[in-house]
This record gives sequence, structure tokens and C-alpha cells, in this order.
Amino acid sequence: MKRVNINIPSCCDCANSKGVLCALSKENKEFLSDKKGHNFYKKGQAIFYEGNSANGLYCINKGRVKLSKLGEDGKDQIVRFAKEGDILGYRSLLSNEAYQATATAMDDCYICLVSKDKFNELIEKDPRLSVSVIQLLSRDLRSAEQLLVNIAQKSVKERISEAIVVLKRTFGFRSDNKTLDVVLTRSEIADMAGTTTETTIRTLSQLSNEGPIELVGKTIVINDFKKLLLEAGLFD
Amino acid sequence: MQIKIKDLIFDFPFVESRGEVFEKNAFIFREGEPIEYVFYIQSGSVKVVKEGYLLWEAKANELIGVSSFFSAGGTYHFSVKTSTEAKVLGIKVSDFKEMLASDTDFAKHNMKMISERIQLTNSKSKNLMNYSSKSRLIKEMLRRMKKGSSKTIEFTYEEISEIIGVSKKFIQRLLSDFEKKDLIKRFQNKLILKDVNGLKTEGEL
Repeated sequence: MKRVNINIPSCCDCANSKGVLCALSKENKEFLSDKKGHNFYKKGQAIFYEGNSANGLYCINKGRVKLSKLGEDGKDQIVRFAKEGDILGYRSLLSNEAYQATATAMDDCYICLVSKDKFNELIEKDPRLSVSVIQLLSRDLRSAEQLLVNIAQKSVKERISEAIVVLKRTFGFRSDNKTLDVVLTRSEIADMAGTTTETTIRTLSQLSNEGPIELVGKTIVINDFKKLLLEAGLFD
Repeated sequence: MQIKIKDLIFDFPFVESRGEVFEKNAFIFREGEPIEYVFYIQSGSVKVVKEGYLLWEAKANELIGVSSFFSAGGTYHFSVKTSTEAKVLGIKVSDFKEMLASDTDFAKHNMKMISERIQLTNSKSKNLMNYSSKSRLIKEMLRRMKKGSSKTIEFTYEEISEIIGVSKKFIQRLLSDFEKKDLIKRFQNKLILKDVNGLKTEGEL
């Protein structure tokens, strides 16, 4: 097996300046750099599995990660996506439970790991981290509540349109400024919108015929973002 | 020993011990209003409603509005109205932030509380994905029957439409259909579940 050389910067020099751990003081960032580990994950490789005991906090230095849960029907259900600067596993650490989802690398990823003990030590030492984590949890809760209301009240077409809006906001466009910089299967989009794969295929085709999007193989091109927002019942 | 949120809150000298009493069905705040306070429920219970949909019901010793305060925007992202008479204490958001920064136990309690709410909300979403409106309505009726140990259950269209997430008109149509099939009987604000097994079959439960 080819060995991958990993060159992870110190937390003080990390390029991801908007991450939760960036709220730490310089002194605590140095402490963190000293104590953290890091690893390389190939595209498609699992970082941790749902049900594993939570041993630490993961911080993405480079790459994108998909978090999914196993549904009752045995199919994976996407919970959220994470990108550079985002942390993973924090909810399990805070509630002293096993990991609630499986994290899988969507690209080749470089990921740092802070042990559970060190994370708890930092929470005790630096109140800024507590506030920063509460902010993150609050955003997660708000998204979860919005999804709940959407599933209860929005039509499938609105939900699928909104799922594409979320993908655009999370991953952005490729250099052509209109192709989503992420490729998901129809089944993964169905999971995001809380519907079936068959309905998703039909609805995507309908949206494509009506103009706001275009389907090129598995990729999605957004031709008219304003129209897509209207279809999603969102107004920017 | 588990620390209680009540003990943590009233440890802070600037938190007044007297809350305000709200009558049943009174709004504590509405979605879109600017955030000035995080609320601690001293007694009674309140409904947390977003876009007409009941997200959850909060009881005494719970905090409300924390996630709105920390998820940017400067406004409440849901409405809160009392479901019983409730005594509620408003904590200024600036004081609340200071409380989090100065007391790790208080901060940890809030992290845990929000984490649990996320989990509950995700379970509710999953439940919604797996069941149709009709199945959810029947599930709710059966839940009430089990809770009250009686086939006669209390029922208002407004409350049920909030819980199920569909219009009152749609609930009326479903119930009228159940009545035609002799599964239930409606009178005043009550329902009699005449054929429990028939309802389960109807709801594919």
C-alpha cells in the first residue's frame, strides 16, 4: 500500500479560519496542535461508523464528508454534509453517546482528531469554545426544525428544489458558475428531501423540463437560481 | 449528582427570581420578532410552533429561544404560546451569554439540551417521512387513547392540524371519511374510536 505523506499545519496556521475550533485562544490552539492527531482518508472511506463509541472530535482540514444514518429499510439516509473547517462527532461527545451517524469521505480528505478527554479539557478551559459549539448546535437544530416543517408542509417538488438550493449553498458551483460542485445519486437526493428515488427522478425531470435546472448525467446544472428558489418556496 | 438547570440559573445574581405569569394560549413571543430574551419556564407548559406546525412542547425547567439567539438573524425563528397557564422568566440575551461564558456546567447543560432536541427533531422528521398524513392522524388518535386509557379522546381541529402538519379542512375530510366507514364517532370536542383494529388497517399501521 502506498504511504501518503500528510502535512497538516498547526491549528494556529490553519487556512480554515471559520471553523468552530478557531474560536480558541492562541494558547489553546497551541495546546490543541500539540495534542491532536491526523489522518488521510481516501474517497469513499469511512471515518467513523454509526454506533461506534465516540472517542474523539474530527476536524476537516481538507475535503468533504457525508454523514448518513442507516434507515429502518436498511438504506442509508443522509443527515448532512461537512466541509473544510467543519467538525464531526461533537454531538455524540457532548451527550456521551455513540456516534449517531456514519461519516464517509466524499473526496480524498485530511482530517485532524482531538481525543474526547482533550476536547472536554478545552471546553473547561476556554468559554469561547462553549459559545462557539452552542452556535453550531443551534444552527443544526434550526436546520433540523426547518426540515421537519418542510416534510410536514411542503410538496415533494418544493422539497427537492430546496435540496438543490442547499447543495448549491453548501458546495457552490464549478468554474462554469452553474454546475453544482457535488455529484449525488438520485437516491441520496431523495434522502435529503425525504421522499422516494422514483419520485425524485420524476420531479428532477419535471424541474429540468420547466427550466430552472438541467440534468447532465449525474450532475445538476442550475440555469435559473431565482426560479429554483421560487419552486422551493424560498425567497432570497 | 445531576445538577439542575434551576439551581444553575438562580446562582446568577442578575437573574430575577420572579417570572411573569401568562394565561393559557397567550403568546410569549412570535416568529420574526427581535430577540431580547431567552426564556426559562418555571411552571406550566408551552408550545413551540413554526409556520403553524408544532415542533415540540416545552415544560417546566426548560429554556426557550437559545437556538434562535445563536443561529443568527436576530429574530425568533418560531413562536411560543402557552398551552397551560405558565410562569416564565425572561433572561436578557446579554446576561445569558455571560452566563454561558462564566459557567461551564451551565454551558454544558445547554449543549446537551440542544443536542437532545436535534435528535428528537430528526426522529420526528423520520417518522413524518415514513407515514402519510392519514397514518399520522390515526397514530395520534391511538396514542391519545392509550394515554387516557379510554376510547373517547379529547380533540380540537386546531391542535391536531398543528401536530400533523396539515390544514384543519384536511383533518375534517379524513375524519368524515372515518365516520362514514364507522371507525369513529365525532361529538363536540371529542372522538370515540369505535373500531380500533379497523383504524389500524386504515392507517396501514
